[in-house]
Formats: sequence, structure tokens, C-alpha cells
Amino acid sequence: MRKLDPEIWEPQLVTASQRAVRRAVAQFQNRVPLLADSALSWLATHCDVDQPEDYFLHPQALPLLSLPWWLERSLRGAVDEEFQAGLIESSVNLYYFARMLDDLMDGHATERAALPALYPFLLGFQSAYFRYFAPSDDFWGHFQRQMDLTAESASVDSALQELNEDDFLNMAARKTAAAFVPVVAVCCRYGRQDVLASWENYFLAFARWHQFRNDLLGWSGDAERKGRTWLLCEGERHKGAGESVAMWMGREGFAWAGAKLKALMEDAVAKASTLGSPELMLYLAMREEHCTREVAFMRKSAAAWAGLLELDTQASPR
Amino acid sequence: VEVLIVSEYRKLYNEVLGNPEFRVKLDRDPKEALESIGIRPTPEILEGVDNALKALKELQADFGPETTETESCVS
Repeated sequence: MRKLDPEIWEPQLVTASQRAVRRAVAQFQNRVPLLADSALSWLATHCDVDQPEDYFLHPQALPLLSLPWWLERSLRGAVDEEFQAGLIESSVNLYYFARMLDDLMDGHATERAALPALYPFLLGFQSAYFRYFAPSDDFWGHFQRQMDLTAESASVDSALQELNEDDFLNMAARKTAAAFVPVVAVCCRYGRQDVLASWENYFLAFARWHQFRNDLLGWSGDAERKGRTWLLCEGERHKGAGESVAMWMGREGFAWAGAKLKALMEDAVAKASTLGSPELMLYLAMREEHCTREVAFMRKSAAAWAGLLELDTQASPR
Repeated sequence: VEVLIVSEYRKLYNEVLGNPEFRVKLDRDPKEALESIGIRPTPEILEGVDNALKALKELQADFGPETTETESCVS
């Protein structure tokens, strides 16, 4: 795993995340000890349960914990660490909930005894906000909207068999809308709902890029389990006669996907540039640079294997 | 025989691009990996695989593990 870049994750955020993530896991174990073993066995298939914060602070992960932090810093010039710790504990539960549901929807084997952990995960996500927002607060309307958007997008996306660019931009990439809830919380707590729309526009643009990068990195696994993504559907539509999707990926797909990723990131950077968060801009520059290298590596690897096709041509009776 | 050879190169290319586990097997034991997908490990095919694996290792060294071992599960 790549070392965390100290320029990206400030020490204060790393320390707060470590404490809050571990506290969230410990609280889960204390609340449901009879369920915890099964749930933690499931969790161990995704991360090191002894250092659960690493998963959230991975440089290539969705910046679930850092975005509300950066937003608060941009609004106030400082962060309320206790408030942010509450958001982190909530987001950890949201992530575990979403991950488990994703595993189920994608058909990954998950121990049956672990599945009821969805109850405490969802409750842990939501209940953190009871401390900060009264039932009549505007926050809850935004909360409901983001949750509904996530649920509808995940449902529609899973049912689509033929995805095009519009489907991806308007549905597939909105599955992570619930991750915007802690950002909403920061805006509502400090009475800054005026900046909500511009942060949401940015978040959606970034989520599109993030989802498409995941689809590119996981394309062969998705293809193996007959998953439907925009990328794979594009491959089905454009592969040549007698060509597989894998062969299209090598011939054209990696380059096509790299160009799409570049355009999606440009859109995210343009939207982020209006938000007044230098930390976010630095983070995006790091992600863009890393992703450009990933795509270049994929293209060059495919080119190395394409030597086999040249041998094919030499052996072919023309 | 020619027709079989032609299809085998394409079959192998398809497998190495689309199956990460097969790529690992191919690196560990090319003959066994080729036979596992029904390809006869002729000297020509083995040489082609060897050349590709060498090129790939050079690329991995150039790009470094942070690029070539990205965890796609981080989503």
C-alpha cells in the first residue's frame, strides 16, 4: 500500500480519523457482541481490522472523511475536532453499510450471520446526526434526499442491462450520494447552506470520475461475473467481428477510458476550483497524476501482450 | 495446424488481458498455464510469452508498485 502523503492528509486529520474509526468499530463490538465476530470476519475480507482507519485514509479511496474536514476549514479557517469525529464515526458506519449491501448486490459470498450487521451500521450512520440536528432542522430534508438518491440510483443501475453515457452520468455515478451527507451536515451546522449547491456539483463530478476509475480498474472482474457497466457495454458495442471485450480493451478500450477519465477529472477540477479549498485542489492533482500513470501502465501492458497478436499475423496464412 | 496456431495466439491474448489470475499463473509456470486453457506450449508461443513477461516486468519496475498494484476494492 502506498504511504499516505503527508501533504494530502494533514496530521490532525490522520490522528482524528484513527481515533474515530477505531471508536466506531469498538462501539459496534460493544453494542452487538454476539454479531461482532461474524461482521468483523466479513470486514476482514476488505481491510485490516486492526488498523481500520487505513482503509478510509487510502490515497485512492473516496475522500469520505476528508471532504467535510476540508469544507469546514474553508468556511471557518479551523475545524471543530469533536464535531468532525462525530461525522467520521457516522461515515464509517455508512461505508460499512454500503459495502455490505454492495457485496450482496454484486453476488459476493457473505456469511449469512454477518448480514444483520446492516441494522447497527445504518443506525450508527444516522444516529450520529441526532446530536447536532433537531428533528425540524433543514438538515433532515437534505439527508432524506441524498439517501433516496442513493437508493434509487443503486436500484436502477443494478437493473440496467445496456448502459450509455447518460445512464452512467445520471444514475451509476450517483450511487455514492449518501457520502455527501457529512458535507451537508457541515453546511447546516454553520448556517452555510448557500455553498451547498456548489459543493454538491463538485461532489457529483468527482463521484463520476471515481466510479468510472473503479469500473476501469475492475473491468475484468465485472466482466467475469457478468456485471454491467458503461465501460463493458461500450466494449460490447464497439468490439470488432470475432473480437472479445478483452481484446477491444487492449486495442482501444484503455485509451478510450483514459480519455473519458481525463474529461471527467477536468470537470471535477473546474468545479472544485470555485470552492476555496487548497487542500482539495492538491488532493485532486494527486489523484489525477496517479490515475494518468495507471492508465498509461494499462495501455503499455496491453501493448506488451499485443506482441502475441503480431505472432498470430506472422503465422497466419495470408 | 496453421488455423489452430492463429486462434491460439488470439485466445492467449484474450486470456492474459481479461484474467488477472491467469497472468499470475503464466508468470509462475508458463507451460502449465498454457495447457490449463488448452493451448499447446510450442517453442514459438513460449518465446512470445517470455518476451511479453519481460516487457511487463520492465514496465512494473518503471511505474512502481503504487501504480501497478492499486487496490480496485477501494471504492
